[in-house]
Amino acid sequence: MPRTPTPDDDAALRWEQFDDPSYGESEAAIAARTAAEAGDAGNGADASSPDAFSPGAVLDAHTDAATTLTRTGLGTNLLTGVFAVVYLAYSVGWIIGVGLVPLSGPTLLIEVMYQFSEFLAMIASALWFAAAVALTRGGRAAHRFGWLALGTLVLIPWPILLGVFS
Amino acid sequence: MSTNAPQAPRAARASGTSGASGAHIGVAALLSLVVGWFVFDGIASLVGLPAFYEQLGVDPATVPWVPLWAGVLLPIVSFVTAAVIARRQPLTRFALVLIIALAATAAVRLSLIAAATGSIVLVSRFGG
Repeated sequence: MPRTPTPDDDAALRWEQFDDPSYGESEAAIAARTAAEAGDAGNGADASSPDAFSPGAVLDAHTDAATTLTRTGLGTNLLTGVFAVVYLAYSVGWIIGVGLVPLSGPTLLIEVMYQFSEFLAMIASALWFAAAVALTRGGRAAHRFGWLALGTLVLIPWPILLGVFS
Repeated sequence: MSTNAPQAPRAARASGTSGASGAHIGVAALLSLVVGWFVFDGIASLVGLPAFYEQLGVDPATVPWVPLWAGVLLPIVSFVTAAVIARRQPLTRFALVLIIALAATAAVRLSLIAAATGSIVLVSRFGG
């Protein structure tokens, strides 16, 4: 017995619910679609011509989108590399600067805790950089660079700077 | 029936988050021991440094109160802030963020100590 079709039979085949958490459009797809639409608009100006649609234009648009994404990734990697150099300098500054701070405890326990806090200070820059890169992987670049910039302000090795200035 | 189906993953995610909160609290409690040490040392400096200045005969107005109070409050503020920021993260990421907060606190604390002891050096060099 044939089933009577309902009006919403094709609902499962559409992406109409954009707040569905399983719906997501990658950056590559967004850039490619935007570029393709720009290419279509350019072709629409001379739509009267017989060859208004050209597959080459769409291919060029996709190539441009891929190039844009490659440049964005390159810029992100380049800026991350700059931050890596800064954080490496901070780590060296802290390793040297810890020796400039006169900390000594009257008991063994306090001395051990001082040594532990000095060790934490030495690894703080490397930890911050590694965590900022790892925890923001796949996210927005602004988040990564925001956390990295905050770390460069918080972790300035003042002991060695004060030692140099004095 | 069909209206309840999309809510099932949300309920599962919510129960997973609440189930991990016990481990989160345990990790936070364990790492808060280090925060307690930082606070204890900060209070010891807050009490001891002015007395040391007085013993040296230095003007009490030169006591670096801002670094001393920052040494007491900073560990608490940074640890609580990190715990709030990372409270919805998985346990490993939560622990990592708290450890980084402790490491950053240790670094800033050493900077504060350098600033405070630098003031001692300057006072004894030019004021005493």
